[in-house]
Amino acid sequence: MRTLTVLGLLALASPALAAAMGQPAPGFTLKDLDGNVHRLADHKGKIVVLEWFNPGCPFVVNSHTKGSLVDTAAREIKDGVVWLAVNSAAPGKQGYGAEANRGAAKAWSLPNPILLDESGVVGKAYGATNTPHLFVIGKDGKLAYKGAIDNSPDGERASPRGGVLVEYVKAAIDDLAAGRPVRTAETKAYGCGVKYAN
Amino acid sequence: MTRRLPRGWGFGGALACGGAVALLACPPSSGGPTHASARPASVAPAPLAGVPPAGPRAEGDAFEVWLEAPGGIRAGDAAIARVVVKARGSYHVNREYPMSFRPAPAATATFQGEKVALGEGADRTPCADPPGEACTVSAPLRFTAREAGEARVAGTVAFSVCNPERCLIEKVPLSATVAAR
Repeated sequence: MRTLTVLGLLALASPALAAAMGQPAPGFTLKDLDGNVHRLADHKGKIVVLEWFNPGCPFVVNSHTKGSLVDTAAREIKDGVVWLAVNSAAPGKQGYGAEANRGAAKAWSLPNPILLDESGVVGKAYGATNTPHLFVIGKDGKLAYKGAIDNSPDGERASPRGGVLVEYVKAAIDDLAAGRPVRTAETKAYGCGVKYAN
Repeated sequence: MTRRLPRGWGFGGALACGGAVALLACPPSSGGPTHASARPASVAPAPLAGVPPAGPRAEGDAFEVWLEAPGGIRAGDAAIARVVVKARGSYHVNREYPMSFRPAPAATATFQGEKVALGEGADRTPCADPPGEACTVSAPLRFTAREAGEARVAGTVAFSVCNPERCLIEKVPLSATVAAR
């Protein structure tokens, strides 16, 4: 069963309303690879990171094997952050299904659950366009960051724009943890397109 | 002569091998939707029999890529080759991916760094479909022949092509010989 806030429902009708910065993040209920239910509402008062994920996407593979997602979730989880990967691939699309995702989770030693959003409802509520696409929700439940994991659109940290690597998600979490406004709140995500049904 | 890369070479091979140079020696991936089940990058790849050494041109199911070397260059003077990526079929060149050229140790020409960004000054030919995307990108590659004679422009071109179903990241070794006077 999936639950959407009014904001989430409105987002379905109008993409422009999807997951507005500084507004309450759309609630959801999704199952992970083992069928366990995860609700955003269960994590009130915590910083939550949503990572749009697809094991078939080479940018996701790069990010998790030599890029800015290597061990990142593990480090942040140790500091009390909730990290949830979301796969919005529709049936029949690249990266769809528990088996493909389970393989990735094992190969990359992912400590976080991977939630399956095969209808794409949650992805569209957030406006997720790429994999990887990261959303950081503050302890107040409001969307504080959305965009790329970093400024190196090869996913390998080898081609940072401007020549200096910036890890946007880490910076956003650090700002939130310190009680500061997030200095870079929105960036353009890079990677494969989310494999929605349409 | 165009070198045909084995089917499924693309990114799956890169993942299994963990490096541009190692691509030459990697077996092709078995394909499929996930590369996560490929061998970790730290495992030494097995040699791939029958793969010819890098030439000026290579192709895969989703792309063609080649080096256009200039003629009549003078040793010590700046010269410009072109790296051309042409997407095939339903693919287009992924404009968000930072195309680059990493000179090979065997190169006898000199370049502007250990890794050369190929975006600036690139000519992009739009696709008929999808609109707004480029199907051919021709990027200038500046180099200098150190001395008169044959200079080897050699290195690995990194680029990405996508279609609605998937993106591929390719790292393809190319090599061309240029006569310098």
